Amino acid sequence: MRNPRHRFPISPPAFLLPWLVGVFMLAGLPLTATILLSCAQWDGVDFSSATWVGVRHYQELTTVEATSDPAQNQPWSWALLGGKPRDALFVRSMTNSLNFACLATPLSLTVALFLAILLNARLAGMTAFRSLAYLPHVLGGVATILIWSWVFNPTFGPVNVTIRFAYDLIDPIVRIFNDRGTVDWLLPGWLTSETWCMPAVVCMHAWTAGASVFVFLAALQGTDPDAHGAALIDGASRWRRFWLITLPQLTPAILFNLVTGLVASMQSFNYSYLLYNRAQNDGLLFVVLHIYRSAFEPPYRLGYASAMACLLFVILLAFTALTFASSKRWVHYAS
Amino acid sequence: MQAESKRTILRYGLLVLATSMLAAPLLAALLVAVMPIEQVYALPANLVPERVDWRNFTDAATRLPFLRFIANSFVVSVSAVIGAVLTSAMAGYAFARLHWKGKHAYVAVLIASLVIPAQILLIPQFLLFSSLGWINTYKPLIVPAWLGGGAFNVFLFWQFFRTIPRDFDDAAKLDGASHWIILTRVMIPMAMPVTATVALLSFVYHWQDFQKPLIYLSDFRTYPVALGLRMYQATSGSWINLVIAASLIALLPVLVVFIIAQHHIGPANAALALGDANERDDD
Amino acid sequence: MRYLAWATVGTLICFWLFADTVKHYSPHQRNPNELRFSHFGTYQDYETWAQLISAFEREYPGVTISQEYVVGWYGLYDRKLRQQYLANSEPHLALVQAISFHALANQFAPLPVPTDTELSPLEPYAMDNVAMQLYRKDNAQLAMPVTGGNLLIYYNKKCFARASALRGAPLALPSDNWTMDEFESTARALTCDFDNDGKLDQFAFWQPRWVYYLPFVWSFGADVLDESGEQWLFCGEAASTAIDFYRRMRVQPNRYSPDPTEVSQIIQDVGFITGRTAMCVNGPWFMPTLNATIDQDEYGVADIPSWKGQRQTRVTWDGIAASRRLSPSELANAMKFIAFVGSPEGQRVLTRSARAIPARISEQKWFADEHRNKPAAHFIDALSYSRPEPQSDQFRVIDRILNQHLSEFVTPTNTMAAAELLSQLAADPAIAPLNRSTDKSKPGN
Repeated sequence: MRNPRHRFPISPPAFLLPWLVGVFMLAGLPLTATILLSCAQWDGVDFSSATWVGVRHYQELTTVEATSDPAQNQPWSWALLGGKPRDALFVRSMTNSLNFACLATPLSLTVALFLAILLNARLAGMTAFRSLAYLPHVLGGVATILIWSWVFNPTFGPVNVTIRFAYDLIDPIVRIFNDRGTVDWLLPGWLTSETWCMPAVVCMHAWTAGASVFVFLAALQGTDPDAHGAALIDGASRWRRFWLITLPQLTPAILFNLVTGLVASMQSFNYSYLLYNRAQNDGLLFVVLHIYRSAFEPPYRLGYASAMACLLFVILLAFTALTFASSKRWVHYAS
Repeated sequence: MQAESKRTILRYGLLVLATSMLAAPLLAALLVAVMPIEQVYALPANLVPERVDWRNFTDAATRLPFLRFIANSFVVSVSAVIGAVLTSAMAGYAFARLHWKGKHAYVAVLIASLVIPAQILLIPQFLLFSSLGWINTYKPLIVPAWLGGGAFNVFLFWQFFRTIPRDFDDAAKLDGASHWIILTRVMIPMAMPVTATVALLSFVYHWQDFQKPLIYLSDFRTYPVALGLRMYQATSGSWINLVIAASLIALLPVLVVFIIAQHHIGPANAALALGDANERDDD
Repeated sequence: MRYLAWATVGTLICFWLFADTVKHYSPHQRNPNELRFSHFGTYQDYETWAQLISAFEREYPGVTISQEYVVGWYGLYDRKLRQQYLANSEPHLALVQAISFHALANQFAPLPVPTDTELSPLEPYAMDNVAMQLYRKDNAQLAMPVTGGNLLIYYNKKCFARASALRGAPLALPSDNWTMDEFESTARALTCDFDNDGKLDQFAFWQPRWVYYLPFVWSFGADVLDESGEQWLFCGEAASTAIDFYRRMRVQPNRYSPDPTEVSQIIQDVGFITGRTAMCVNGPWFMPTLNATIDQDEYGVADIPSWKGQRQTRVTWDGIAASRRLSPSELANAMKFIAFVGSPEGQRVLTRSARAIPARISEQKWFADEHRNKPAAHFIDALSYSRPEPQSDQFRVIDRILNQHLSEFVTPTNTMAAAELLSQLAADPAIAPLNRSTDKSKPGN
C-alpha cells in the first residue's frame, strides 16, 4: 500500500484554476483593498491626495453623543445606543436594513413553508402548481419592482382601489355608528409614506419566496414517515403531529433559509435604489444604498464608505455566527 | 375516505387561492398595460380597462430602443451562463473527484466565499476593472462568470457529483478518457438537472442584474434590459402604462428560459432547485 | 494543428480581454478627431442632441462626436460622471447642471479667454450673464451655459371653469401682477369638494419638492444661503412669513394643497394633467409632457405672485464643459463643438421644442418671438426677475434636511411656531457647520 502522502500532487488541479483566479482577484484582493481603503481618506480621483487616517472612520461611525432632544422624538435605535449617533443617517440606514431583514425573512419563510406544505402531496396538477410557485422568484428584479410600485400607487393602484372598495362596502354599516361613515378612513400612502414604505417592500419581497419553497419541499419529502406512524397510533391530531414531528425535522431547512435570507436581505439594493423618493424621509434608505451614495456623491468619501461596508460585513458575520451558534438549541438533525 | 377527499378539495382550494395571490400583481400589470393613459389616471380609479389598447406594447418597444436592450441582455446573459456552467462544473468536479494536498483549506475558502457580501467588494472591484480599462464594456459583467461562476454554483455541482457512483468514471478511465472528457461526456450529462438549475439561476441573475451595469456602463445603447427599464422609469414614469408594458416585455424571455429549464430540471428533481438564488437576488 | 487552434483561440481571447486595456493606457494613440460627449435628460433630449451633433458634423466634416446619453436626472448622472473620472474614462465633453458643477469643477479645463480669438468659443457678451457667472471659479470660465429653465406657475383653465361653476361666480385667471394675497384667495376658491362627500376633489396647488417652493421663499424676501453658498441665512421675519404661508397651504382649515397620499409624488405631473391640482410650480421642461397630453389652450403660465411689490424665481442652467485631461488637439476640437452649441444655429436646435430656454441673449429674443402668444414666451419675460440658487457642496444635504423638517412641520398635530422651526433647522447637525461663517466646512475624504 502506498503512502497517501505521496499519492496526491501538491498543486491544486488545473480544473480549479478559473475558480481560484476568481476567488483571488474578485474576492480576496478586493476584500483586502476595502479594509485598507477604510483606513484612508481619499476622494477617489487623485492617489496623491490619499492620506492614512487609521481607525478614525470607525470612530466616527460608532461615536454616540449625548442628546437634549426629548426621548419621545428619538428613534428606538438611539435609545439602544444610549444617545445620538454622530452619523445619524448611517444608523438610520442600518436600522432600515435590519428592519427589512427581520420583517421580510420570517414572512417569506412562513409563506414558503405554507406553500411547501400545500404542494407536498401526490395529486394531479401538482407539477404545474410547483412551477407557478417558483415563477415569482425567477421573475424578480427591476421589472417586477416597477410593477409593484404601480400596485402600491396610493391613488390609482390596485391595492388602494381594493381597500377603497372594501371601505365603500362597509360604509352603510359604519354610518349607523358615525355620521361620516368611512370617508375619513385612512388609505395607506405605501411608497409615498415614511411609515408605510417598509411594509410595502416587505410584501414585495415575500412575493419572491419561491426558491425557499423548494428547500422546504425537499426537506418535507425527506421527513421520516415512521415517526408519523408512531404519532398516528398515539392518536395525535394533525396539527400536533405537524408541530411535534414534522416541524422539528424541518429545522435544518429553516436554518439554511434563515441564514441565506437574512444575509441576502441585509444586502438588498434594488428596492431601495428604485423606489426611493423624498416623501419617505429616508424610510427606505438601506445601508447598501447609503454606502453607494457616500462613495459616489459629494463630498465623495470613498474611505468612509469602505468603513461602512466593513462594518456591514462584520455585522453579517456576527449574524451568521449567532444563528449557527443558537442552532444547536433548536435545530434537530436526524442521527 | 370521505375525510381524505374533503382534505384534497381543501388543499386544491388553498393552492388555487395561493397561486392566484402570486399571479395577482402580474394580472394587475397586464390590465394597466392595455389601458390608454387617460383611463389610467381617471378618477374614480378603476382597475379594468374600458377598452383594450394593445398598441401600448408596440409603443413601449419603439419609444426607446427597447429591443436593442433585450438583445444586449441576451449577449451578456448567454455568454455569462456558458462560463458559469463550465467553470463551476470544473471546480465542482475538482472538489468531488480530485485530491491534492491541502484540499481542506480550499474547501474552507469556498465556504467562506459564500458569506462575503457583494457590496463590500464593489468599490475595489470597480477600481480593478477601471484600471484594466474595462469601463463601458461588457467584460466586468461577463468575465467574473468565467472565473468560477459563483461559489454557490460550485457548491451545487460538487454536491451533485458526489452522488454519482464512481463506477461511471472508472469505466471511462479504463477507456483512457481524460478528466476533461469524463467531465463533459459523463458527468455533466448525468447531472443534467443540476446543470439546468445552474444555467437557469445564472441566466436569471444576469438578466436581472442591475447594479453592475449601472456602474460599469455609460452609454445607453449598451444598456441591458434591467437598466433600460430603470431608464423608462426615470424619464417617462408618468406613462405608467408604457412602463408596465415594457416591464412585461422584459419578463417574457425569462419566462421562456424558465419553461425550457423546467423541462430539463424535471419534476422529480425540482427539489434540486434548492438552488436558492435568494442569496444573489439583490446583489 | 491542434496546438495551432488552441493558440489562435488563446490569442483571440487575450485580444478581447486586453485590447481595451492597452488603449486605456496609451492616450496619445487616441484619435483627436473623435470626441465623446455625455449628457443627461429624457429621450427627447437625446434626440435633440443627436440632431445638434449631426448638424455639427456637417459643419466640421473631420470631427466626429460620439454621443453618450446617460439616462435619468442629475443625481444619477453626477454619480456616473464621478465614476468615470474615478476610472479615468470620462467623456471629453460633458453637459453639467449648475448645481453639480461646483463639486466637479476641478475636473474641467478652463475655457480659453476671449482674447485668444482663434480658439475661444466664448462670446461673453452674447451669453446670459447670470448663466456665465455660474460656471466661473477662481477667475476661470470652466463651462459655457447652454440652456436653462426658470420656475413659474402653470394653471389648468378647466379647473378654474369648474370652480367658477361650483361657486356660481366667475373666478379670474391669474393676472401677471398678482400678489401673494390674491394667490391665496384664488387658491382657496379653486379648492373644491364637488360631490359633497367631505373629501376634496380639486386642489389648488401642488409643488412637488422643496426647491420648487424657493420662488415663494425668495419673493417673501427670505434667503436660505448667502451668495457664497457657505452661510445659512434662513431666519428672521421674512423666513417666518414664508414658512407660515407654506403651512397655511397644507394644514386645515382652508388648506389648498394635497398631502402626499392624496396625490402621488412619484407621478407629480399627473395631478396637474388630470386636473386634480389646478396650479403647480414647474419649469419649461414641463411643456412637452403637457403638449403631448392636453391641449395647448387648456393651460397657461403665470408669474410668481409678488409680496410687497417684490417677486423672484429660481433659474437653473445646464453648461457644457471639457475634461482637463484633453490633449491640445482634442481641446481645439472640443472648443469647436462648444462654440457650435453656443452659436445661434446650435441654440435654436436645442430649444426649438421649448423644453428649455437658450442661454444666448439674441436667441432668447428669437425664442420669445417663435413662441409668442404661447406659454413658452413667458419664461423669457420672467428671466428679468429670475436668479440661480447659490452653489454649494451641501445642496443635497440641505434639500434633504429641509424636506424632513418641513414635512414634519405641516403634520396636522404640529403646533410649533415658525420661528421655532427655523431655529431647529439652524441647529440641525447637518446645517450647523454652515451657520458659523468662520468655520468653513472642510472637504470630505
